[in-house]
Amino acid sequence: MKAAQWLKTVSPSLSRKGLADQEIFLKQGRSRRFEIGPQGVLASNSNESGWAIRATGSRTSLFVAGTDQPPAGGPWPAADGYPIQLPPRSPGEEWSEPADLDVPLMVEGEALELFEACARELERELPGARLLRAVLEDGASSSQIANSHGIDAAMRARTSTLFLEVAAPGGSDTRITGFATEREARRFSPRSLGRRLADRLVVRTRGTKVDRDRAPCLLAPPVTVRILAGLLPLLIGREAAGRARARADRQGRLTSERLTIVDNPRLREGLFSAAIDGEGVPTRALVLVEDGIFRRPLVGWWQVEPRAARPAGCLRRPSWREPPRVGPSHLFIQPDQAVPVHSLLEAVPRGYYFLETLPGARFDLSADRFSLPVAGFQVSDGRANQPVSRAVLQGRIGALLHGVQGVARDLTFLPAGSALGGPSLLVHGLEIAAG
Amino acid sequence: MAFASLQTAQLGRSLAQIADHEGDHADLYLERLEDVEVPENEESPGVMVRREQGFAVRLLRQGRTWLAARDRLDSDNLRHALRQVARAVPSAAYLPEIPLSEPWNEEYAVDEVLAFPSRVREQIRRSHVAFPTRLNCGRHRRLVQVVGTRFVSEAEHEKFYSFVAELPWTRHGVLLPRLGEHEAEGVVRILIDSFRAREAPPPKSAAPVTVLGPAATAVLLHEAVAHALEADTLALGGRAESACGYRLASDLVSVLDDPRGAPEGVSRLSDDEGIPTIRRWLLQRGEIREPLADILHAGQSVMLSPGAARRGNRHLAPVPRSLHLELLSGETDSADLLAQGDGGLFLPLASRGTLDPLSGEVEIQFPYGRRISKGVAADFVGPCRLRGTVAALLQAVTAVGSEQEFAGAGWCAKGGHRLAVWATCPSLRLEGLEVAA
Repeated sequence: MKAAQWLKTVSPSLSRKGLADQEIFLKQGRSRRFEIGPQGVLASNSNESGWAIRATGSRTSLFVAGTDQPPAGGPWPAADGYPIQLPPRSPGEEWSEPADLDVPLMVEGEALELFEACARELERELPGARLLRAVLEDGASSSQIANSHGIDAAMRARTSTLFLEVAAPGGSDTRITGFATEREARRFSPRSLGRRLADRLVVRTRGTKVDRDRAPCLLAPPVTVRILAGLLPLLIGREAAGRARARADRQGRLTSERLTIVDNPRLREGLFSAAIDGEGVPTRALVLVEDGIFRRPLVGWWQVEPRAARPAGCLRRPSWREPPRVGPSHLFIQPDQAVPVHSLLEAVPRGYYFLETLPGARFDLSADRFSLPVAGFQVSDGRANQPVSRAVLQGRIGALLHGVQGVARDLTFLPAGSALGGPSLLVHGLEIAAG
Repeated sequence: MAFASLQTAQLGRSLAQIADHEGDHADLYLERLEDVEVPENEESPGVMVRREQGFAVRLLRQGRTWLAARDRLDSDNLRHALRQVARAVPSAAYLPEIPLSEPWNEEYAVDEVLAFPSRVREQIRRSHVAFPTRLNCGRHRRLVQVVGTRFVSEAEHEKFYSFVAELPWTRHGVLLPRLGEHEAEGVVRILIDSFRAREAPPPKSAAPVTVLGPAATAVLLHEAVAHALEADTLALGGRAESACGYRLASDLVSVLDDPRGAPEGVSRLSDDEGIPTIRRWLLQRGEIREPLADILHAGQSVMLSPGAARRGNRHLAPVPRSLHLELLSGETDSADLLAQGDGGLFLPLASRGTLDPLSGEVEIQFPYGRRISKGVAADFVGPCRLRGTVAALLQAVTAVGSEQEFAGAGWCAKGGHRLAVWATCPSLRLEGLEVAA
C-alpha cells in the first residue's frame, strides 16, 4: 500500500484526537554486510521495514514510529508535544534518478574478491603490510512520504561503506583504519585505497614529531573535511547567521575569498542525491558562503527569511526512527577545477603536507580557537619528504579561514552523518605545535 | 510484549534442517524493542515512541557466519530467511507455516517518563539553586527470545531508563534501573555539583593521587577491563585465550561479569544467544581469568565459555560484551581513601571513556572534580581526563573502597552495537597517573 493510502487509513483515528495535520513516512531497505577478520567470515542479509507518523493539532503533536505496518486505528501515544508545522506541497525542479540505484547489491563472492584485491594492492604499495579486518556494507532503500497538505512523494537511495583495518610491515604494532563510501560498491578502487593506506602507514611508522613552527600547509581532503565539520555551527540552524556575521571582517568576509561553500542535495554522484528531503519538500543547491562572503545558513523551510523565499528542502531523515532534522546532504568546499594538487604542493618552498587528522580535534567558536592533531609530511622545495607522525595545527579559527591561499580540484566526500566534502587547501599562517 | 504463541518445537526442527554439517550451530533470535523519549526541546514533537520487532536466523559453520534479519514476524519472511542463510536448502527440507507472533497492540504508557523531569526540577528548586536546563528522559524496553536446534531460552525482559540534562556549560547523561525519588536525588546532586564547578579551572597537569567515585570507576572498568577482555578485541592481537593468566592489574583488583546480579529490570539469565549467563571472573587479584566470549569465539578454544553474547539489534551478529561488572570491595573505608589522598583529586563521575583496541590506550573524561584537602573533597576543578594504557591504569590502583554501589556505566557503542552496560563497584584510589586538562 502507498503512503497516501496509509495516510487515509490512519487519519480518522488521529483526527479524533484533535490532530488534524498528519504526515506518514514509510521506508523499506535491503542491506548486505560482509566481514572478514580474526573471528572468521560473516555474511548477513537484512530486510528492514519501518514507518513514522507525525501528527499535530493547534496545541499538541505526536511522533510515533515502528516496524512493519502502521496500526490503522492506533493505539497512539499521548499527544503532548508543541504543535509543529508540516510543509505545503511545492513544485520542484526536474529530476531524473541516478541509473546506478538499480544495480544489484554485492554478493558474497564479489565482496571477498574486493577484500582480496585491497590486501593485494596494499602489499604491492608497501610490502609486508597486511589487511587485518575488512567490512563492506552495501544497502539500498526506498521511502515514501505523504502528508495532509498534499505532499505525496517517493525517493530511493543507495550507499556502500568499506572499512579496512591494516597493519604495518614486520613486527610493528602500528595499525590504522580507513573508511570509504560510494553509492555503488563496485566503484571502490582497491588501488587507490591501498595507496592511501600505505601512505598513512609510512607516516605513522617512519614519521617524526615536529617542533613549534609556522609555515604554509597543504591540507589533504580528510583534514579539510574535519575543519568543515568544526565549522557547522556557523552554517546550520537558526543561530548560524548571527554567529557567522559576528565573525565576518569589515568587508563582510567570513573566509578567504577563495572559499565557496555549497550544500547540494542533488549532486549527481553524491551518496544522498535526492529530489526531495525528509519531509517531501523539493531539494535544491544552496550557496552558503560565496567567495568568502556569508550568504545564508541552512535552515528549515519554516525558518527561511523572507517568508516568501523558496524553501531549500534540507530536512534530513536518515532513518524512520527519528523525526526529520535540519542538516546538509552534500556540504562541500567548491573545488577549483583548474588547480591540480601537485601545483599547490610545488608552490610550498618549505612547509607541510598533512594527509589525515588524529583524534582530539577541538573547535571552540566562542573563543575563536581550534586545535587539530594531524599527520603527514614535511615539504621542502615543493616535494613531500620527511614523514611527520604527529603535529597539532592550532590558532585562531578566523586566521585559518582567512589564510586559505589555494584550492585544488580533488574534491573528496567523507561520511559524517551527511556527506561533507572538501578539496586540498593551501593555507598560510597556521601555527604548528608538537603533538 | 511477549511472544506468547511461539511454536518452538517446529522452529527448532526447521533450524535443524539448515544446521546439517557436523559442528554447525543455528539459531533464531526474536526481539521486540520499545523506546520512549521525552525531549524538552521546542523543535521536537513531545513524547517520541518507537516500537520495533523482528527476527534473525543465523548459521555458524567452521568460523563462518551467515545471518538473515527481517522486520516482519511472519512465516513468509522466516522461510525466506532460512533459505538465505542455508544458501541452498536441502531438497528434503520442510519449511512449514509457523506463526511467529500476534500483533503488538499494547497501549503506550508514558506517564512515569513524563513525570520524572518535573520531579527533578522540583528537587532542584528545593535545593535553592536555579539554572537553565533541558531535561530529556527515556524508557527502554526489550524482549528477547532465542530458539536453537537443541534449546529454547526463556524470554528475557529488560526495562531501564535514560536521563540527559543539557546545561548551558555541559551535558550530563545517566542510565537508571528505575525512576524513583532516590534516582531523582542522585541526578540533582550531579547537576548541582556541575553548576558549582562550571567556572572552576581544570587541574594543572600533575601526577597526584586520584580517587575515583563508584560511577567513575564503573566507566574505567568498562573500558579497561570489559572491552580489553572481550574475545574479539583480544583476537586482534592473536589467540584470545593466551591472555589467561597474564597479570594485568594490581592484585587489589578483582572483577566479575555477573549478568544475573544486575538490578531487577536489567539482570539476565541467558545471553543474546540463549546461553545461560554465568558469574565470570575477568580479573582475580589482578590476573586475567576468563575473557568474555560468545559461541563463535568459545568454539575456537576450550578455555573460553560462551554466555556473554550481546547484540544491539537483530540486524547485527552477536559479539562478546559485558552486561554487569562487579568490582569486589576492598578494605579501605571511603573516608580513608580521601584521607590518604591529601593533595590529590576526587573524581566522582566520568562523562566518557574510550579504549583504542589497536594501541591499548584508554582515555576517561571527567566533567568536573574536587581537590582533596585535609581528607575531604574540597574545591571544585573543571573538566579533566585520565589517559594511559590498560595495564598502566589498572596497576596504578593502590586502594579499593569497602562500600560497593550500583552505578550505571552508560551506553556502549562499540562496533555499532548500542548497549546499556552496568556496574556495581566501590571507589578506587590510583597513584602515579597524570590527570590532564
